[in-house]
Amino acid sequence: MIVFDRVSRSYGRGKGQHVALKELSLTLEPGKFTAVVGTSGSGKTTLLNILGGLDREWTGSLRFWDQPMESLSDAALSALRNTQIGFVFQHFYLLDHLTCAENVQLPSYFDRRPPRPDQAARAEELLRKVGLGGRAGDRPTQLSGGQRQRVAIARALFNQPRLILCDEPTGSLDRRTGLQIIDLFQRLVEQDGLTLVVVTHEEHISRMAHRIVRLEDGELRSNEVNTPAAAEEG
Amino acid sequence: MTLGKLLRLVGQNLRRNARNFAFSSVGIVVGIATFIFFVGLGEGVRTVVMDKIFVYNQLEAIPRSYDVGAFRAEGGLFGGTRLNDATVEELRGVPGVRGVYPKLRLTFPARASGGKELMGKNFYTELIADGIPERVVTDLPDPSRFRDWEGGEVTCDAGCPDGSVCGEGARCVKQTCTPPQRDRDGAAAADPCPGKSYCAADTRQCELPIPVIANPRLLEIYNGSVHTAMKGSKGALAQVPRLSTTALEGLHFNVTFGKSFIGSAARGEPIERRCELVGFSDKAITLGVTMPIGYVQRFNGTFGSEERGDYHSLLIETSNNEAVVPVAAYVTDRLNLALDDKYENAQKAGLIITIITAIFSLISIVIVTIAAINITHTFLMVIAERRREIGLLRALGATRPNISAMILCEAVVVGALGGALGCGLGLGVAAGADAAFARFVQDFPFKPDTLFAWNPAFFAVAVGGAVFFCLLGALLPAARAANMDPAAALTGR
Ligand SMILES: Nc1ncnc2c1ncn2[C@@H]1O[C@H](COP(=O)(O)OP(=O)(O)OP(=O)(O)O)[C@@H](O)[C@H]1O
Ligand SMILES: [Mg+2]
Repeated sequence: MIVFDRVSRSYGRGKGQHVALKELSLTLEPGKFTAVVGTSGSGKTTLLNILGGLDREWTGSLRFWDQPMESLSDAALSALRNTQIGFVFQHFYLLDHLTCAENVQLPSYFDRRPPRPDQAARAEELLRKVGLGGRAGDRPTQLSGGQRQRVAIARALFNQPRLILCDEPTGSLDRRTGLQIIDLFQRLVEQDGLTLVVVTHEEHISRMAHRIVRLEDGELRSNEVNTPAAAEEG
Repeated sequence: MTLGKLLRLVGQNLRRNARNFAFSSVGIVVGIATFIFFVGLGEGVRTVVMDKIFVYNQLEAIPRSYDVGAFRAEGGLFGGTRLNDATVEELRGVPGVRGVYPKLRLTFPARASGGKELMGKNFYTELIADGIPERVVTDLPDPSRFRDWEGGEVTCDAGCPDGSVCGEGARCVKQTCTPPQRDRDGAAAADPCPGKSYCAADTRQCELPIPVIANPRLLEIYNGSVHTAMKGSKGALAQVPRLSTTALEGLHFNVTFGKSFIGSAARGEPIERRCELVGFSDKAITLGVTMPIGYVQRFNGTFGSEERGDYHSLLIETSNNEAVVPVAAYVTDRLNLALDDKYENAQKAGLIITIITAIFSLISIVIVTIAAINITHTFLMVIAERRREIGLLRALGATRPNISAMILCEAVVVGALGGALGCGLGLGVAAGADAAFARFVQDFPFKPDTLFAWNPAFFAVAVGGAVFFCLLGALLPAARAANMDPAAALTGR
């Protein structure tokens, strides 16, 4: 369960101050797919960065299951990101000098828990799960955009997080490939009970979510429960 | 993050940015190579100068008087300590003194002739000789050969030496003999005495040659200058060979005691004795030969002017080069003795070497400092390039310390590799310099086989210094990377 309680974020000071998020209060159910929509500059990425523990300069309170995120130290937030949150970005952010399998294992580098003995095997299994069995040894540069995003999803899943945060995960992909990615997400939510928050501009994607949160100028414009449409529809 | 994982991450990063780091570490490599080269050179030159040319840890104390050959003013007149056994004992108790060896010089003229076996022709020369206690000469191939055969009675127990037979009371007695006649050319007939012994004209007994030692520096001077100079001359000297200690050991020559080219002794009839060069030792006089002190005492008693029985000088050996200065101070200030000017020259030379080495070390430090600034630059650039990547690592769970550890660790590896390469380069250039030196520089006294001396500490300091300066250079970039706002980095702001 994620509970935003009057969360605000502003950039700059004095005259140049810009409020990117205004007293946002919002509850996200676990095991559900939430789409965050809104015009450019409405504060979607700001919201995701706060929820992902990447941004600490905000006010208000935010419960991440049992943890109050406003009171976590940098180290604690880092551990939280490492073990509980998976990130998927529009531009994938894979390291080109590593193989796909190595990219997938990156979260293990910062995991302070005892290392799992089957890391490489797990990376391969995840790659299979996202439809890239057999590409483990390839470099990201040898893959298509959709395939790269699948590697990024496998990486996000590596440490078995509770929450997956995606900032326009299909923004760099064509419609068809984008739908396949969202379909993959939907299956993950169903199979593993993951909580998924996806920022998107694309309506056909937001229609597939359980909840659609609409922001406007940093304020919550609407927050609706949605009956997910099937992926084939798009 | 475990060290293993950190190193893997660092290895991956370094491989990717290899070219950047290779360029930026050129300065480190050059700086460290400069350092290694000059420190090695300084140490090498110091070794030759201090240990071979000056034998720095050997001091020679002489009376505070003006000792010019035969015109020697008594030290006591000037208030200095006398060079006798009491002084020897006192000096032996001074901290840092390893040994004190009294030296006594011949105080009457003598001349030597010989060298036919070696040079093809006999040479005649004034003989400068002194004596020291036999037991102090330990650096000979066979120290037992440097002994005073006349110093006391020899018992038969261990068998009698050449020319002696076992006589009354189990004492060795010299055989009597008839000296061989010389023909008109001065060539002698076969000697009747057995083995090494020879028939002395004055005693008409079989005598053993007086064992003498020479200083290896004499040989160096001969090989480095006389031999080189004579190569270009005409006549017999043009063929003089380059000499080695082994070729000279066992050389026999004749000495006339009590008479020389410049004059005769005040007292006594001149006698002729044979000498045998039994080896080379640092304890020997530089220009001349050194024999067991007993011979000198006896000859001085026979031929010399009146003596108080004092030694002419005391050779003081210190336990190491660091003890030289305090021991020298003790000798000059407390005992009011003088030191031969070798000491002062050695000090000057040592100071010059230290200064030159220090200057070049400083230059290398400047180079390395500039290189460190270069490293800062490279790291700042690399970090700017990797901004998103660092943001990503933060998103994946890297803490601030993780990020700075990663950057600093990269710097350590760059520094260690640069330092090691610099050491290699420095050694390579040194080897080249040695080869050129051996090939293009003429022989000179004490010309060393290598100009360099290496101490493991140099390399430790070099690599440690390279790592230190790289770390220093990476401090700011590491702090910057660690404090990067991950949200801003990821959104490319
Ligand atoms: N680091 C920053 N410094 C200053 N202003 C910022 C910063 N990050 C965001 N903003 C401002 O905050 C507002 C919200 O930005 P945000 O990135 O959350 O928008 P967004 O909804 O993600 O837009 P888009 O759809 O274009 O990605 C914008 O007006 C933006 O200019
Ligand atoms: Mg955005």
